[in-house]
Amino acid sequence: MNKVIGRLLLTLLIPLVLTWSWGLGGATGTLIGRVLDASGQPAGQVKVRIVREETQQHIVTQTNGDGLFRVELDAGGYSISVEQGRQSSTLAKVSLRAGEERRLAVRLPVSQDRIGGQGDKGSESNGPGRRSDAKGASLAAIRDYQIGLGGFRPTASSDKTLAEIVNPFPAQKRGRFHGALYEFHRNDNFDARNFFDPLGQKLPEYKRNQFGVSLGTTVRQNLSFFGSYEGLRIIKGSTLLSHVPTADMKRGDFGALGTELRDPFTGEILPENRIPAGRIHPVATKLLEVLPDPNQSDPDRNFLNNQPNVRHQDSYSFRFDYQGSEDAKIYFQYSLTDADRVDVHPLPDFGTDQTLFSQYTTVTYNRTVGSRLVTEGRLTFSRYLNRMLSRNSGREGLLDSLGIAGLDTDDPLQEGYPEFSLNEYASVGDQRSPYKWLSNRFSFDGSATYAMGGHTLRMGGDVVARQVNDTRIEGMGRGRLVFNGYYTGDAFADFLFGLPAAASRPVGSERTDLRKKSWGVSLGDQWRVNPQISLTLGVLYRYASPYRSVSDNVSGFFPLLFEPPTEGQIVIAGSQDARRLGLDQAGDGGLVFPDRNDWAPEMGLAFSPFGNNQLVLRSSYTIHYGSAHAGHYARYLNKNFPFYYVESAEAPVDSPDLDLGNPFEHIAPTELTVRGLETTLRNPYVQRWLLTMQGEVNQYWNLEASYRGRKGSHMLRTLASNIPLPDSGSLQPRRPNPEFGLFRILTSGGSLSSHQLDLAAERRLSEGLSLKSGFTWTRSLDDVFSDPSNPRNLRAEKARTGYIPERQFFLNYIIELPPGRSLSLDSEGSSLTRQLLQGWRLSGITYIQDGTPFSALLAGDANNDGVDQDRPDLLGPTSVDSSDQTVDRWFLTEAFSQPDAFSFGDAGRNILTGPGYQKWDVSMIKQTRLSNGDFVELRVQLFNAFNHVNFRRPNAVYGNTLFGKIFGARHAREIEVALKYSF
Amino acid sequence: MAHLNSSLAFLMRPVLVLLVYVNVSIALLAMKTILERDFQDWTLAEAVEILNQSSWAQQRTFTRVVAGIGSGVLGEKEIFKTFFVRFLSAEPIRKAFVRVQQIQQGYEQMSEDERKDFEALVSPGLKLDVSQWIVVSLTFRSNNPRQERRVESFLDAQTVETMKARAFLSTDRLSQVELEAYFPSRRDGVGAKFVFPRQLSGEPIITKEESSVTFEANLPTQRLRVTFPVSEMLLDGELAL
Repeated sequence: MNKVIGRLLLTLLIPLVLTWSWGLGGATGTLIGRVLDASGQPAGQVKVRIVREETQQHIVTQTNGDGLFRVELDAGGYSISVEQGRQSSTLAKVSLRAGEERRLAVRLPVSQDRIGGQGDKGSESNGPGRRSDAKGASLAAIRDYQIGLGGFRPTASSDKTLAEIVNPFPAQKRGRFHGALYEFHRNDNFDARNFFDPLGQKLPEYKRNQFGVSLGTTVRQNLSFFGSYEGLRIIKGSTLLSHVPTADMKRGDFGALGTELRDPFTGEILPENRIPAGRIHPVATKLLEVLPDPNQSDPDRNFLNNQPNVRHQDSYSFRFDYQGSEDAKIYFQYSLTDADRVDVHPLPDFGTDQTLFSQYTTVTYNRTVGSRLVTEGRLTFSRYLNRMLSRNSGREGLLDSLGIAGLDTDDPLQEGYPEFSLNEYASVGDQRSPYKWLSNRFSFDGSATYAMGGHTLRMGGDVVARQVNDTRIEGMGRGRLVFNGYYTGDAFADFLFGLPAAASRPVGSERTDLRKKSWGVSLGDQWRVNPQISLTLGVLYRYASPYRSVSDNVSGFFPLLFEPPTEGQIVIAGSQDARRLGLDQAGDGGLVFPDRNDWAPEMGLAFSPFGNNQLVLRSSYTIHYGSAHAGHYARYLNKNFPFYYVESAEAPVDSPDLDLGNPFEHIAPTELTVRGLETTLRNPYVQRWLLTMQGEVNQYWNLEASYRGRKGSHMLRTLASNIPLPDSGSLQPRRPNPEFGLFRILTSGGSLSSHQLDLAAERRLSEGLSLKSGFTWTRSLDDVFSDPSNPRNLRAEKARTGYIPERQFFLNYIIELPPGRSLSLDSEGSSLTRQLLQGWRLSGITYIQDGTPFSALLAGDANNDGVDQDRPDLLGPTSVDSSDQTVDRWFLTEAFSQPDAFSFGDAGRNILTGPGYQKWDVSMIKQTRLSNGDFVELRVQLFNAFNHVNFRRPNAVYGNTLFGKIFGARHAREIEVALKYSF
Repeated sequence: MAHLNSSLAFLMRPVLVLLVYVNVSIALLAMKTILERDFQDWTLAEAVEILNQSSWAQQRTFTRVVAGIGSGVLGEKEIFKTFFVRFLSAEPIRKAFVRVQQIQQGYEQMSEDERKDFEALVSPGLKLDVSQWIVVSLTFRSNNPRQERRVESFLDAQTVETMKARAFLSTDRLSQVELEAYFPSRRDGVGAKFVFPRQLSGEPIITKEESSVTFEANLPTQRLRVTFPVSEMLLDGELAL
């Protein structure tokens, strides 16, 4: 905390020192003023009132015969008004700096009468004057100056208006190319050491180059072009720490473990804590080849993988703008991104190769009709491909060579190692692969805005069609085997014996081909009732159909009830059974009924009691609807028997029934898991309400205080069903419906509520300094989860929202250098000196937040009810004083205990708080102007400038030796150097 | 790397100086040639150049990249904002406006009577009495219609009182010369007019001996600061402002 305060002070000190250096803070200054009358002559014996804006304290002085006054004032902002008779006119606002002798001349205002015009709207201040004054006449002439020649002969030389001719856009660019070239570079030579990188060793390799070029030109007077290319090349050595078995353990010698191992079949203690070589399972022996020996001395974090993640990305885009007439514009835009990335795994023999390819194109048409109606229409198409393969993909025969019966493939892309989960040890195997997502989106939207008196009416609508084609996202084509240490007391020892606690494998094709359509219409009005009050009223209606499959591969369990599970059957969408049961109303290829009730009102009120920006009160209420996205449907819609399903085999906690060589031997087809979506799935919606008070302290500073409320209804969450009560023995016979395995259903029963208080202060960019800072306090609760610990007690799942920190603070600043004219050389210096000393900018972003909530869990299915996410018992407070927190003890691990056998733990969801996060980014930019519109920009940017260690969440699995320990941190300080040339 | 950086730095300075020198010299020479001729002989391009790239007029273009799918530092969409700042009180600017009007209306093809009518219309503008005032005009254009409307409505809604805190003229001696009057745009291309006193306490706010005069305006989307070298605003040795 002290460190944070120190850094904040340092961060604030920079602008404060610089501000002080050009005299905005502290001590006193002198204000010498001269008041002139309307004719420019000194105005003597005039009362001058000087009001300090921060405090509203004032002093009154009087001018001498020469119209002069002189006062000593504290540094700060002042408004100066002159009193004549009963009238008072504010003539100037000044900021007085410490030690400054500020000279000011104010002239008594020119009145509207003296201007002699016809009441041009609100342009001059009122005040005494003479109608026949010559200066008034010249002001009126200035006001009336225009170049339009209304009523004169028709245009002879051009079809363009005078305004377009004299203000060509972009005038300096026309007929020539403009654009930019740039390179942003980071490397490990500039960077600090990550907290977990070993001391005394070279930092992991890091090279990051982001480079590009843009080019634009005006092809013809009404046609312009802009195109760009950007490349990104990253080689970033990772700091992946994990816990791997020692070489002795791989030979069966667990003497150094500290835990006595049991014989899994007799329950006897193993002599010398050693597994005889002859009892090590042959499949396990083959897998030992890909398990590296420890390379670090820390017993918990004993293996470090520094292999680099690699990213290679190219982005292209271009755009044409065509102005058909003064009132109509059309533009066409296309962009393409092609990226490849290689991500490493904690163990060096695994990892993934990913391809990302996206395209986006749009045509937009804008038309202004008269002076009041603006219309826009837009046609858009986008396409996105994400394909990920494991590093061992394509190694034909690899899966077969392991000798695990029931796991095989003919598809080279599916080749690789199954996933072995080993509790506290690093997982072994290829994960999340193959994965493929291919989607298309077509849309048309249009809008019209009509201004009429104080009303601005808006109406609009859109139609969207989405496709998901040839997509697979399960990424478990080679199966998954779980070792929890149930049988020997150690997960790796269970592995050596070849005794998984659970095994699963996919059957059938998971290919997904989905379609969805949606449309919406909106109508709204912004009504400026009077200078004090503005109202916003509107309504949006949106219909989004559920996704449906076009591959005739959808089935679900009917009836889809949770408690009590009843008899039922698998029903194929579109079949006679489905029609008999009334499911045909959900449409072909789907099992979810459409939700047609998404009306979203919008109301807002802005009240300015004084009719200006000094104080504005705002309130609003809106509803936003969402819908289950394609990922939900891809995961749940066509993942059932007979098209695709996951067969699972689970051994009881107390009986090692599965063998690694043939883990699926005893799987019966009836133990099918069922995945589906609630047939009456509702679209989730969030109600938001807001109350804001915004005040202008003076010409520079704004303050804002807001309360924001949010209530989410019908939030999507996954519920598990067909779950037995915790008990010993096999799961399947105890299930309420023993003919099926686990039911996992996406429902819309979740809720969320949050209350948020925001405080913010902003200094507008002035005299080279801009600041914005704010604090947010949030209280958010939800019962939106991926799996409940106890599906029969969902109330116990209501807890702090997992991704929202309680407190957040930010500070953004921009300081233009040199600070103030006193230090600038723009008058005295040579042009070269000016080039070197001017155009500097220091800016920074500071963001600090509390940690986010998370839960303590037990490994695997500890209470043997068929569902993971079991939690331990809670004995007392969990927090450790921040001064005592270490990477080995982030929270009080002794505050938790193992619950009674076959019971639910009483620790709540999300009761722990992870490490906070601090971001201190600072950049220094030097911009040198070569000629109009041409710049060379040099940037040095420090990310995490103070090298603050932002730890990742600690291990949250109770019962293993790593519980409460942290294994990673986000990036250390990185420095980026950039050069950009704009022409 | 260090060697490369020092070599680049060594080369950069003379290259920058040379580029600036060549650009400025060429522009000034060309401008002087134009101004030496009768304004009625100016071509449209020359008149527009005086209105946009001269000693009395500058434009500032700011670009912003709108992020989108796959966009990076540049992105796929570039939004322009251009501010045109002109000293309307300077005679060359008003002459250039008249010349554009002449060309636009086909002055050379007009009959004598038409020319008289035309000159009656443009003459007040050309002979505008600015003996007491320095007038700066500001127009704005953007390829983002929403942005354009936002700035226009802001400028339309301002009064001299509200603008006083946002717009200043500064010289070597005076850090902030206060606005005297403000007139919103008449949508004819001239733009909003900012009127400053030519003298304070009997002293001119700017003399030809000073180095520069700067117009500064804090607008909702942009802080604008445009500096004009005074030495380039001289005509026949006198300050034409």
